[in-house]
Amino acid sequence: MLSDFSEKIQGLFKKFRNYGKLTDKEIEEICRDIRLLFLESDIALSATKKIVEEIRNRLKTLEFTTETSPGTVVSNIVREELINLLGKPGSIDFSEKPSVIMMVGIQGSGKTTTSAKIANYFATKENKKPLLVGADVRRPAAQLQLEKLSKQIKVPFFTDKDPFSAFEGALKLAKSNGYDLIIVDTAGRTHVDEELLGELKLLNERFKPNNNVLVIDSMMGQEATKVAKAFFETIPLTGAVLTKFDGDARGGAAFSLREVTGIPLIFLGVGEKIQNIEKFDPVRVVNRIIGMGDIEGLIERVSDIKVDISKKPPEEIQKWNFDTFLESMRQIRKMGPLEELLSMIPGFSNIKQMKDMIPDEKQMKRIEAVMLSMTPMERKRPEIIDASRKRRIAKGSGTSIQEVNQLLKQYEMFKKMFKSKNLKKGFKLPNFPIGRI
Amino acid sequence: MFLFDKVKEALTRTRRVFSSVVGMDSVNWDEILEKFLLVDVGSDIAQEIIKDAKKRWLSAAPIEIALKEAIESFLPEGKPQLFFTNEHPCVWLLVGVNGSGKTTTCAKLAKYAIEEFKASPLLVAADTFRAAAIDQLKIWGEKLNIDVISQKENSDPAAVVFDGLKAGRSRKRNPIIVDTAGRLHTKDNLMEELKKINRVIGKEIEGEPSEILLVLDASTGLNAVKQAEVFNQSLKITGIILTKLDSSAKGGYVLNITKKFNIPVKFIGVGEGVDDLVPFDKTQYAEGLIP
Repeated sequence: MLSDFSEKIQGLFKKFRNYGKLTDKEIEEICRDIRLLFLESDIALSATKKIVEEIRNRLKTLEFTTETSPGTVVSNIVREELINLLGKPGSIDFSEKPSVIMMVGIQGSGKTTTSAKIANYFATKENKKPLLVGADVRRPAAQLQLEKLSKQIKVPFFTDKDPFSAFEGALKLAKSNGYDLIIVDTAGRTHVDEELLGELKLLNERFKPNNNVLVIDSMMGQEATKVAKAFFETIPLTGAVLTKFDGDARGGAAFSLREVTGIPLIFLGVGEKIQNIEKFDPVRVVNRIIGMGDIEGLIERVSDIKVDISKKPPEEIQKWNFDTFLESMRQIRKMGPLEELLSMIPGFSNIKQMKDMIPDEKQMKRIEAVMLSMTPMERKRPEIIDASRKRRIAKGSGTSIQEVNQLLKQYEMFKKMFKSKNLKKGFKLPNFPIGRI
Repeated sequence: MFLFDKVKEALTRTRRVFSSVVGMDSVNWDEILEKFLLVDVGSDIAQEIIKDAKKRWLSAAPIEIALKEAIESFLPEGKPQLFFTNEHPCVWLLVGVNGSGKTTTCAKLAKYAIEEFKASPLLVAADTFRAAAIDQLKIWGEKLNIDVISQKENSDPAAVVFDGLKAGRSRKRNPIIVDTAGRLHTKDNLMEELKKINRVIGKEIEGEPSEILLVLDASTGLNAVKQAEVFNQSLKITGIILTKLDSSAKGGYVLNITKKFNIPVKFIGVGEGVDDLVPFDKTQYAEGLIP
C-alpha cells in the first residue's frame, strides 16, 4: 500500500541525512525533488507549489544543531505540512431527523458501493436506522446494484422512476418508518455537464440535504481540482470520501480537494468488501504515504474480527504445534491480505527484502493444505512425521515432499528462533511460518 | 458529423489548457512544462517532449507545430486496429481497475463490431463480483439485440467465459466480447484470476484472445502508468481504451504508457451513449493538445 511513494520519499530523506547543514543550493535541490515527488503522486500543481513554498520558507529559517540530522528535520517538516494541508477530518451531521446524505461525484468514482458502505458503517457501529435510496436512473442497473447491496447488509432500500420522486418518497418513508439516516445515491455526472449539474442544484434546493458528500477516486490526477471545484460551486459540499485507497495510488486527489474547496474528508474506502471503510485520519494517511506505518489501522482491523480466546495459541513456545499454527494463520487471514496488514507496520515498507518473504494468498493456501493433510496426531507432534508420512501428506495436499520438508524445517527454525536468548521477553511475532514454500 | 463534433468538443477541452501557448513571442518552456503536467503527462516524458519540441522550434518550426509534432512522435505509427477475422471466433477481453468503464465499453465495442465488420458479436458477463454488473450488461444486450452469456453472481468468472466460448461457437457469434470485474492491479489474487481466464480462452480457441484491452479512465493520474505496467505484466495488453474523455482535459499519461510499454491507444470514449466510442487518431489527439 502506497509503498512506491514511501520508498521514494525515504530515498530522498536518506540523501538529506548525508548533509551536515543546508545551503541555499541544497534547499533548492530538496524543493525540486519534493515538487517532482508530489507531482508524480498526482497532488495538484497548485497545491504542490503552495506546500513546497511553505517547506522552502521553513528550511530557510532552520538552524541545525549537531544532534539533529537535517534529514529527520526535513522529513518532519514535509510530514507536518502534508498533515496541515489535509486538515481535520469531517463528520456526518445528524442534527436533523431524518438526516440526509446526498452522494455525488463523477462516473466510476464509487458512489453506489460507498453509499452501501456508509449505511453499513452507521447501522453496525453507531446503531442508526439507515435507508438507502437509488436515485441513479441513468446507468443501467445502478438501482439494482444498490438494492442488491442493501439486501446484503440488511438495510431497507427505496427507489422511484426519477431522482426527485425517489428523494421525496424516501423522506416520507423515513418519517413513517422511523429511519434516521437517508443515503441518496445519485447518478454519476461529469463536472462539465451543465445540465446534470443543474439537476443536482435543483435536488439540493428542493430537499436541502444536511450532508452533501463528494465521492472522489484516489487514483484521480490533476483533474481532481476541477472536479472538486465544479461540484463545490454547484452545491454546498459538506465532506468527501476518498475511494479505492487500497491500491497503490498516492491519493493526491485528497490534497487537491482540500486545497481547492477546503471541505474535509470524512471516510476512506479501503477495499471491495462492504466493511472496508475507515474514518479519515490525516495523520494516518500521511504516515502511511511516507512509510511510517499505520498501527491504528492495524489495531482497528484486528479488533474488528472476533478472535476466539479459547483458541489462543499457548504463550510457551514449547507447546506450539501445527494445530496452533493453523489456528493463528486462519485468524490472521480473516483480517485481510497479509501484505496489506504488514504494510501497516511502521518501517516495514523500508525493508525491501521482507517483501519477498511474505507468502501470498496462494502460498498461504498451500501451507494450509499441507497442514490439513496431516493427521491430528501429526499436527500435535510433528516430530513423528517420517518419510512415508511425508509422502502421504504431499499426495494428500497436492504439493511435493520438498514443500512438506520446507514447512517442517521452517517450523523447527521458528521454534529455535523463539527459544534463543536474544529475544526479549514479551516480544511477539505473528505465530505462523513466514517464508515461501 | 455529429460524432465528429463530439470528438472535437471533447478534445477542445484539452485544448483550452494549452491555448495560451500559441503565439508566444518568446517561449516560456517552464510554462509549457507546467501545462503538460496539468494534463497528467508524467514529468519525465513531458521534459523529453519539450526537448524534442525545442529542436524542432530552433529549426524554424512555429512553436505550436513543434509541440504538436513532438507529441505525435511519442505515439506509435499507424492506425490502431482491432483484430478481427471470420475464420475463427475472435475473443476481445476487457480488463481494468474498478470504475474505469469496462461494462459500458463492452456494449460500445459490440456496436462497433456490428457496424465496422458486419459481425454478430456475443457479450460475456464475466464480472460476477460487482452487484448487478451482469444485469447492467444484459440491459445493454437487450438494447442492442445481442445475446449475453452469464451465470449467477459470485460464480467462477473463468467458468462463465468457458460457457461464453462454447455458446459463441455453437451460435456462430463473432467476436466474443468478455467483460471482467474491475480489479486494482495491486491485488495479486485477482490478477491471477485474470490469468486463469486468459488461459481458459487460449486452451479453447488457439491464439485467442486476440485483443486484451485495458480500459483506462482519462481522469486518472499517473497511477494509470502503474496500472498499465502491472496489467501488462500479467497479460500481454494489446491496446488501451481511454474512457471519459468527454469529461476531462486529461489522459496525458498515455504518452508515458505508449513510450514505456509500447501499447497503442486503440479507442477513446467520449460519452455515455453506445455510439460514443471512436478509433484513436494520434494526429487529432496531438492537435487537440496544441491548437
